[in-house]
Formats: sequence, C-alpha cells, structure tokens
Amino acid sequence: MSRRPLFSARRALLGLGAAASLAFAAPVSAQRANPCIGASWELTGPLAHSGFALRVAVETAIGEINAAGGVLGQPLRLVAYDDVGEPARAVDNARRIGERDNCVVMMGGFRTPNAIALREPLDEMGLPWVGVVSAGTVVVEHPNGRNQWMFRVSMKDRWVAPFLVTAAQARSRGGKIGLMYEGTGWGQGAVPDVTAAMRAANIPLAATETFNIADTDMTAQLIRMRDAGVDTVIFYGVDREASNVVRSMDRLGYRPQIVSAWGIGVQFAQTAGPLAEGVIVAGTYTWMGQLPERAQGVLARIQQRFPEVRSPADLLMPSGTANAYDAVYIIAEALRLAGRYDRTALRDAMFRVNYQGIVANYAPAFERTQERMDAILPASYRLLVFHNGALIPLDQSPYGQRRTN
Amino acid sequence: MEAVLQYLITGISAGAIYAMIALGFYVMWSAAKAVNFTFGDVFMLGGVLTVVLREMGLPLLLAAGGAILIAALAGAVIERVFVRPFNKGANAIGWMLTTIAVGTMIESSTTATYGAIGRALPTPLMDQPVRLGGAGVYLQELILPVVLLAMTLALEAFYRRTMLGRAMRAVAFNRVAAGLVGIDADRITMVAFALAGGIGALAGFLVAPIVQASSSMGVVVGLKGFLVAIIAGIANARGVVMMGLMYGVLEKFVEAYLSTAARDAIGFSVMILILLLFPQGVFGRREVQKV
Amino acid sequence: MSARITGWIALLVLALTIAGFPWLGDLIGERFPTSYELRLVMRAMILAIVVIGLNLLVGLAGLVSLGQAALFGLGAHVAALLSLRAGFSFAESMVLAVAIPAMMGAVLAFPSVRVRGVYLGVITIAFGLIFVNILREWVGFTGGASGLANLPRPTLFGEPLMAVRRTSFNYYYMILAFLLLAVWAQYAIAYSRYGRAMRAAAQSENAARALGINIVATRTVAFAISAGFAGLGGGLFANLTLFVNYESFTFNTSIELLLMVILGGSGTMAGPIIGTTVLFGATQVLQSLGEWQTFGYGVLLALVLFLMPKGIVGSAAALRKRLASKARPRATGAWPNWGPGLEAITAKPDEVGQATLIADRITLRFGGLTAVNGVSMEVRSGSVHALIGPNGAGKSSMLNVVSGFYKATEGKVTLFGQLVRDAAPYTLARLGVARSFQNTELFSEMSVRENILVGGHRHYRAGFLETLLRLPRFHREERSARAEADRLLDFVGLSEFADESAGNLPFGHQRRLEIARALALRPKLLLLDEPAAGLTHGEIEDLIALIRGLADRGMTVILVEHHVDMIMAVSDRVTVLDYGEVIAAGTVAAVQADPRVIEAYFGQSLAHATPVAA
Repeated sequence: MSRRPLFSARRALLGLGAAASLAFAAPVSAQRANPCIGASWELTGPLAHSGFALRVAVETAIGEINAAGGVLGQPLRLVAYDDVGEPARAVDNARRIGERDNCVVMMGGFRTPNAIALREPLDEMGLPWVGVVSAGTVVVEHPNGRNQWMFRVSMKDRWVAPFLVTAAQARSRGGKIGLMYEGTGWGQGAVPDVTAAMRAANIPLAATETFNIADTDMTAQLIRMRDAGVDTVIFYGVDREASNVVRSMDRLGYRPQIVSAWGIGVQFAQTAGPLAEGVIVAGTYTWMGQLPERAQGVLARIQQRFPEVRSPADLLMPSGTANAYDAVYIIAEALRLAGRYDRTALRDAMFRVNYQGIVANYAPAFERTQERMDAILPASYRLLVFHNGALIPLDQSPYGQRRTN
Repeated sequence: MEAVLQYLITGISAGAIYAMIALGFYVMWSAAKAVNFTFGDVFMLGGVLTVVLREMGLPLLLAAGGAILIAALAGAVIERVFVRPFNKGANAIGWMLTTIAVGTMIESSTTATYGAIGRALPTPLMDQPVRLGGAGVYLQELILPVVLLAMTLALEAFYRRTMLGRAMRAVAFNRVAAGLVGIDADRITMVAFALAGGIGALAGFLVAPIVQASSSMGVVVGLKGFLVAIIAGIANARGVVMMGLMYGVLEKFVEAYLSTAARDAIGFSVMILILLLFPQGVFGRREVQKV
Repeated sequence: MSARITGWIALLVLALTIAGFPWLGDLIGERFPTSYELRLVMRAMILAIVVIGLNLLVGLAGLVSLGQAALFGLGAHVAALLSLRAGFSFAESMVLAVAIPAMMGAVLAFPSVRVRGVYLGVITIAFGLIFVNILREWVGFTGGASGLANLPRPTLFGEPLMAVRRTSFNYYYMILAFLLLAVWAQYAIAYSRYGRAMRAAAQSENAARALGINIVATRTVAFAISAGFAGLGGGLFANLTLFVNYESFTFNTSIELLLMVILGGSGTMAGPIIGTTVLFGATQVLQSLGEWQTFGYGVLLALVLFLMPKGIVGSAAALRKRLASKARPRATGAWPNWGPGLEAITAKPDEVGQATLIADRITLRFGGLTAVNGVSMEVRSGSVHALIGPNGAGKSSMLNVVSGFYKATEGKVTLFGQLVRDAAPYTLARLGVARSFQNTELFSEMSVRENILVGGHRHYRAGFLETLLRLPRFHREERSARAEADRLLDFVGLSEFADESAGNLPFGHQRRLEIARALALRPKLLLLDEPAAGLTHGEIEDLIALIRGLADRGMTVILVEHHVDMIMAVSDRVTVLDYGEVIAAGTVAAVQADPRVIEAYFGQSLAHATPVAA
C-alpha cells in the first residue's frame, strides 16, 4: 500500500517522541510500594467460582494478619481485579496493580494462559507474582530460563504428571493407561509432562485423547480408549467436561478408573451424581473429611466472614483456597524478612521464608532456581476421592485400602 | 459396526438439538426475514428456568411448561422491542446487533443470578442407559429425534391447517399482500417469535438433563443451529431439520474417524464449501426463485 | 465543506490530545498516566485501526464481516511467528503482517461473488471459527491455547520500541502515527472513485455494473484493504503485548469490532474512532459493576442503538442535515439545458452511417420460457431506435442482452463493429454502452453529485496508490470529474439538488438524474428502458428534446417505450416485438401502418390507443 511515505512519517514521529523523551523525561524515582496485595482473578464469567474460592482465603488470611497487627506495622490490603479469564485483561490488571496501585506483590488466578501472558509485564515492572492455581509448568519454568519474578504456591504439572502416573499404575489392572485432556493451555501443556512421566515409568501411553471446552459428548474419544483396552484414564479437565465424560462412559457401559489432575472440584459431585463415585483427584487440599485443628479454625473464620460458605461443599476449589491461604502468609513472612515494602527486597526475601502452612511445611518456601520457585513439593500432593458426594482424602475412604503398594 | 451404530445414534440425538434450534430460526426468518441472532440464549432459558422452577418446588413437567411459556413470552418481547424497529429496509442489520445486545443481557443476568456453573436436571430417563445393538444410549437422548419429528409434523400441520398458521405462511410469502387481505403482519411476526421461543426452550429443557443447565449452554449450540439453518436454506422447514440431523451425525463421524480436536474446523469448512456450491443453501433454491 | 473542515480540526485536536496525554502528569503533578493507562490508550488506538478497516468493508462496500477478528489475529500471529521463529525484524514482519491478511481477505472476497447478505455473514463466521480452532489445536506451530509468549521486543533503526511511561514510550507514538495514517487512508479511499464504487456496488449492484464498475474487483479490493488494516492492527498488537493466543481473536471480538463500527456510525469518517472510544471506554468503566458488567454492556448497546440507530456520528449528521435542509427551498432548472462544455459527452460518436449495433438472431431462454426468439436488428449510428411491443414482448430482455446483463442463448451481438461474446456489463460499459433502468436504480444513499461521479468512474487514470497518496493526477482528474458532474447537473436542471441524497428526490428528478448519470459515462450508445414512465406531460416533452438533441450530436439511442406520442416524435426507426419475435421494423410511418402491429400491439385501432403505463 503506502509503504514509502509511511516510513518518513514514522521516522518523523519517532524523532518527535525521542526528542520529547529527552526534553521532559524526569524519571519518576522508584517509589516505595504500597502495602497491598494485587490480584487478577476470574471474578465473573464462567470461572467466577475460582475467583471466589481464592478471595475467601486471601481475605480471611489478611484479616487474621491485620488482627495481629499487620506487617511492618501496616495493615495489608487486597486489591482484586476481574480478568474474566482473558489474558489481555490479566495484563491490563497487572499494569494497573504495578503502576497505578503500586502494590508490592500480585497474586494470580485460575488460568495458565493468563499467567503466561504476564511474564513480560512482570519482568518489565519488577513486580513479584505468586500463583496459587495455574499449574502449567511453563508458568514458572520459563523457556528462556530467566524467571525472576514469578513464584507459585500450587501444583506444577511436571511434578503432577509422575504423581498421577504412579497413582494410575497402582490402580491399573492391565497396565493400559490412557490420557484425556482439555484443549486449553493447561491441558495441552500437560501432554509432554505426562508423556515424559510415562516414559520414565516405562509404560507406553495406550491412548491420548483431547476434547474441547463445552463439549458435551465424549463418545468418540471413549470408544477409542475402550478399543485400546485402557482401564485407567489420567484426566486433565474441569468439572463440567468431567461430568460429560463420566456420562458418556456410563452410556457406553465403559468404566475405567479415572485419576484426575486437580481441575475437578466439588462441583463435579453435584452434577455427575452417583457417577462421580470413586473418581480420584490429585490435589493439595480438601476441606471435607477429618480436618486438623488449625484448618478447622481457618474454615470457621472463612465461614464467619463469608456466610455464603455454608459448608465445605461451597468451597468449590478446595486446593486453590488452601494454596491461596498459605501464599498470603508466605508473602507476609517475606515482607517481614525484607523489612520494607519494596518489590525487589520482597522478591529476594521470598527465598528465605520458612513457614508451616496448612498445605505443607515450607522449609524453605523457594530456592533460587526456576524449578524451585514452586513452593509445594510433590511430597505434599495428596490423592482425594469422591465418595458419597464428598471429596475426601483417599486414605479416609474405602478406596484407600485397595492400594497395594 | 457397533461403534458406527453408536456414532449414528449419538449423532442423531445431537443433531436433533441443532435441528430444533434451526427450526426456531426458520420460524422467525419466515415471518420477519430477520432472526433473534442470540437464539441460543432463549434455548438456555428453557433449561435453566426448568431447573429454577423445579428448585422452587414445581414438578418437572410443570416446571418445563412454565419455562417454555416464559421463553415464548421472551421471544415475543424480543421481536416487538429489539427486532421490529430495527428491521426496516432491505439490508437492515440493526436487528442483528440489537438481538446480540439482548442476548448479552439475558446470558449475563442469568450468570449473575443463577451462577456460572451448570446444575443437573435429573429425569427418570437419565437413570440407566439402554442398549441398542451394542450401542448405549439414554432414553432422554432417544426421545430427542422423536420429539423433533413430532415437532416438525406439528409445525407443518399448524402452517397448513390452522388460521394462524396460514396467516403466518401468507406473511412469509408476501408481507404486503398479507396486509392487504387484512392480516396483521406485525402481530403474526410477534407470534412467530413466541412460537420459536417455545421451540427453543423445549429443546433446552430436553437437552439439559444430558448436558447440565448452565447460563452458557446456548452459546455454541445456538451459533451452530444458525449456521445449520443457513446452509440448509433457511426457508425450508424439512431441509433445516434434515441438515441439523446430518450435521450432528457428521460431527460424530469426524470425531470418530478424523479428529476430535479439529472437529469444528472440518465441520465449518464443509459448511463454507456447501455455501459455495449452493449459494442459497442446499434446500433453499426453489423457495427463493418462487419469489 | 464546513463539515469537512470541522472534521479535520477535530482530528487534529484528537491527535494532539493523544500525543500530549502521556505528559499530563507533568502538568497536574500527579503520577498519571502510568503505563497502565498508556497501554489502554494504545490498545484502543490499535482497535480503532482495525475498526477503520472494517468500516470500509461494512460502511462503504456494504459487506458485513463477522469474522474480522480472525484477520486481526492473523496479522498478530504472522508478526509473532516471524519475529519469534524466523528472526524477522519489526519492519519486515509488519509488512507481512499486513500483506498476508490482505491476501486472505481477497480470498474471502471470493464467496461474495456468489453469496450475499446473511449467507456471506455465515461464511465469515465460519472462517473465524475455523481460524480459532486451528490456532488452538496446532500446538506445535501456534503454541496452542497457551499461545506464543516472550516475543522479542521490536526495534526500529536500532531503537527498541518501548511502551513504558517511566523510561520510554516511543511505541505509543508509533501506534498514534499508524492510526493517523489509517484515518488518512480511510478518507482518501472513501472520497475517491474507489470509495464511490464500493458504495455504488452496495446500493445498486446493477446500476454499478452498468456504469463500468467491476463488482468482483471492487469487493475484492474492499475485503483486501479491510483485512490489511486488521493485519496492521494485529501486528501492532502482537508487538505491544509480546504475547498472543487465540483468545483475543474469537467470535466475540468480531462482534465487538462490528459493534464499534455500527455504534460510531457505519460509513462515516469519524465513526470508527468514536465507536471504538465509547465501547472500549465502556468496557473499562463497566468493570466497576462486577458480575453485572456484561449486563451493563448489553444495556448500553441497546440504548445507543435505540437512541441513535445510525450510530453516534451517523445520527448526528442526519440531524444536522435535517435542520439544514429546512433552511432553503430549491429551484428545479429547465432541461435539457445545452450549456457550454457538454461537447465532451458526445465527443466520440461512433462513425456516422455505420451500424452501432447489429443483433443477429438473438434467442434468450429461461428454462422452458423463450423470452426472445431469433430477433435481428440493426441500429445505425446517431439514430434513435425505438423498441416497442406489448408487455412481456421481450423488449427489456433484449435490452439486457445488449447491455450484457443476460447472456444470449443463441445469436451474436456486434457493437461498434466489434463482436462481443459473453462480455460482462462493466466491459460493455467501458466500450461505450450506457443504460437506464425500468425501475430507476439510483444509489439512493449517495448524493446527487456522487451518483454522477460514479458514472465518471471509468474516465479516471490515476491508480490506487496515486489515489491513496493524493498525487497531482488524482486531484486533476477529480476536479475535472466534478466539473463535468456539475455541467451534467446543470444540463438536467438539478444543480441546486447536488448535495441532496438521491433517494430523497421526487420521482421525475430521479429519472433526470439517472439519465445524467448514464451520460457521465460519455457513451456512444445509450439504452433507455421506459424513461417516460411516470413522467408528466411537460417532462415528456423535455425528455423528447433531450433524446433528439443527443442523437443530433451523434449519440445512438435505443429506446424501449410504451408512450406512442413520444415514439412518434423522437424515433428514426422502430422495431416491434411480440412474444419475443420481430413482427415489424422500419420507419415510424411504415410501422404505424402495418396491420400486424395494429393487431398485436394496439388490439383494434391506433386511433383509440392510449399510453400504457409501465
């Protein structure tokens, strides 16, 4: 089209911009950050329940901390923005948190692509970020190997995969294990992890199938799985599609053991009904079953603050809630160690935090390699199972005894 | 062989839903030469309102009846308020945008009040799958094509046998001439949208037990139903129904033998191809030339 | 004129506002704007570029695309992939980010040759959905749903392009520069023969074809330009966010882009910017509504469409026009008014005495129906040849064959001594065949003057690039075209209506305009299909004078008409058709006396014949 004149105009404007920068730019000296925890969560839209699950935990933890005098003499604040699950909005929110609100740290939400989209702006702003759900390996282990700012108190797919494979192997009678994943950044990202874990365990992956969000019928995938003789399915997906999968299995009269990554939450039991029985889910936590004393207290304070949480069944993403709770305490501890509200100091202090949380004992929480910018180690991962409509620890269920190894 | 039968059956039941939605589009298009572009949301109302009314204590069928009634009313209101004033002139596209606006309102207000998460709608027909020559299917899925057939026949009878139906056909054929013989074309159009709303809501109610009733259940299905209606040639009821069924089956076979991941890419490519071959839709040509 | 100046001033103010915005903080002493606000403005500017492109497609060419986000996304992914995987520089990757979507747009235009309206909409929807599906599932190439992250920061002339308030934000100004260029390009295209051809093709396809416009080429250009803008926006977007995945380019985005066009005022110059600002701004403001924000968005949308159905700018302009048009009554001039300078129109007559048209045994069948059956006729240069016959005799069909709208099933047509075989109407128009239509086919939403300018479409020599850059030749040609249009308006007495919408003219004036528009083609052969239908007696007298005057100046006229007085007054020769066959031919007097004509055409006696209205 109009290449040539466009160029000269461009050059002229570039010059103008550069000149302007030189003339006026008085660099705003890096100010001290504010005592707020920013967050970009899915507060509305189809994933709104995940935003809520995180909010209850973070507000409760901040409430506890402030009741005990805050951090460095100042109360913490939560500044949460909605990203409706869209990466572009998550980046907007990060900019807003880092530039406008000038918060000392930011927490992440449910989706892996949103976290991936944040890499560049976080680096550029020097804003520490703590993920509490999005489990994609590359969220923390950046392909360029230079992750500076992104921490995670959650699961990591590269570690989850061997964990799931081991669990599946223990339950598979014929040793035929298949993988079924959703067509999202999280699901697709899990494929190499699971493949690698299977190879390490020296079992071939008998079938690999994918499905799309909002798909209602999985018959085709399941028929292929059945024909491949799969008796145990490693599943990466969320409640709705999981319901549709067990529904399609029921239709075919095909009942493999499902060992799922933690996309499946409490909601699954409500929509799948009896078909949820016996489905195993990896997670970091569940608020159902027998709780330790401290967790009972946390739950009580959550319910006090949020009356809409009538029972643990209303905490639809139990692991996320627990991770977020621990993350706030880790951040508070790091701030104490840093001694001031300063992002770089906070980032450096993160590596010195030791803390006993409800999910795990973080000792230390992080180390200075990308791989260990994840706080929760596989040893703290748990297997949960749906039994009588509740998601309880496997060892508290009748399915726990069947375990042979 | 058993697998083929399975795909055929699930394909037909999925296709029946496309067909019902496409039929709703057909009814609206015939009367107004415009549609509620976000008809999927009216479909969604059928499922969601049934769940809500049931939770309020109504028995299943009464709840469904209520939901269908409300959706029909919504259809009429949408026509009167959002379509009619924006459907003047041959190339008007205003109705497309206003119905997108109203669809956004319906869907988002449902999400805000009912929640974003789907809820189950248990019916006795979902208790146990039945076996048909090795293929498994729920009775709930089996009744979908049956209801579709009944719906199509009833609609044809309605168009041929009743005064209202004939008036609707007259309006569809020539709005001005219908007005000249004393038919209130505007009222008829409104009734047509109500009828379409009822059809959509019935489909939503029937499918909710299989897929869960959620505020977003209508988005994809609604869009596909529209595409199906268009490639069939939207002015032909039987064609629309056939195309809906065929598309449902096609999707299943693509999933089965080509790719589940690329199902939509393949399906929509086929649609584009069909439109290039039949610019007025597969069954649409004859209808158009008559005018 | 004043509206145009107001427009340019508004644009200047806007450009200065955007350019000064980053420095606002130094003025008010606040930490505002931060990079966050700059980023929002940059995203809005990028969207505005895409919306400007879509406005050309929807507002000018009348083609509704519901898959524009896919072209936007294509640009973004081309830029991202080239810089990430192939190490292309910013400038190189941007060129391709424009070019590849533009080519894709041209491919998408192909269905518009066969498929119209809502059917075309469906194809664009399907295209968008296919695109997203491929992006999401082709994990190895596009990164799948996780997308492509960590794009290298773009540099230009060794300078990194930054968007950070504290350090450097030259990219902000680059986007602004592109936005201004896009506004310029929109203006340059809209107010040129290309823009007029697009609008003409949208408003009356037949009339456009009859005036020498190649509809397919016009639509292809419209699609390609629009896609090029989308690709430009996409490339800028990718280099701003340094992350792309399919979620920014879904069907919802396509809808949003279309809404921005409509909301601002489709086809208007300021509409895209205003529509984008309002809708993008609303999305940000509505976030405070929390879970009701989408609902608020819907309500806002409906409100705007209710209150301003033509969009913000469109409705405002219509209001102003209504106020202005009440101001003064306008006088209709006398016609035909053979003023100076009209010679150019009849300057190139066909060689006198030669046969302008030779139709040799033309047969035209529609399925089983034979509309024209073995008709031969010869029309001599500079003569007025009437084609008459009862309703359904095949007169208009014959006219449609001669002007290329129908392909003769059998037979040969020779025009200006040249055998034309299956030539498209626009080719014949370029050879010198102009026509009017039985039911006037004006470009009703264009002004009277613009209608005539479309008629002059084929006289331009300046190409697309010249037009876009407004080089001297463009200005020269545009000036002379306008002068000729004014002469023609004067000729048919419509000078004072020049800026009126053609659709608002009274019926008689519409006929005049249609003839003037046909003459703007400077035809050698003029085909008039029942030009007197619906005219008053006085107007018919004027029409006779006009036709005679044209023929006397060497133009050949073929006239299909029922009005007997007029035929007798104006025709040199007459061919009479009945049931698709020639039943008589010759001079007026000879045909009048032919008993077969009296029998077939007038039933009983010519004396009792009254003009038959069309």
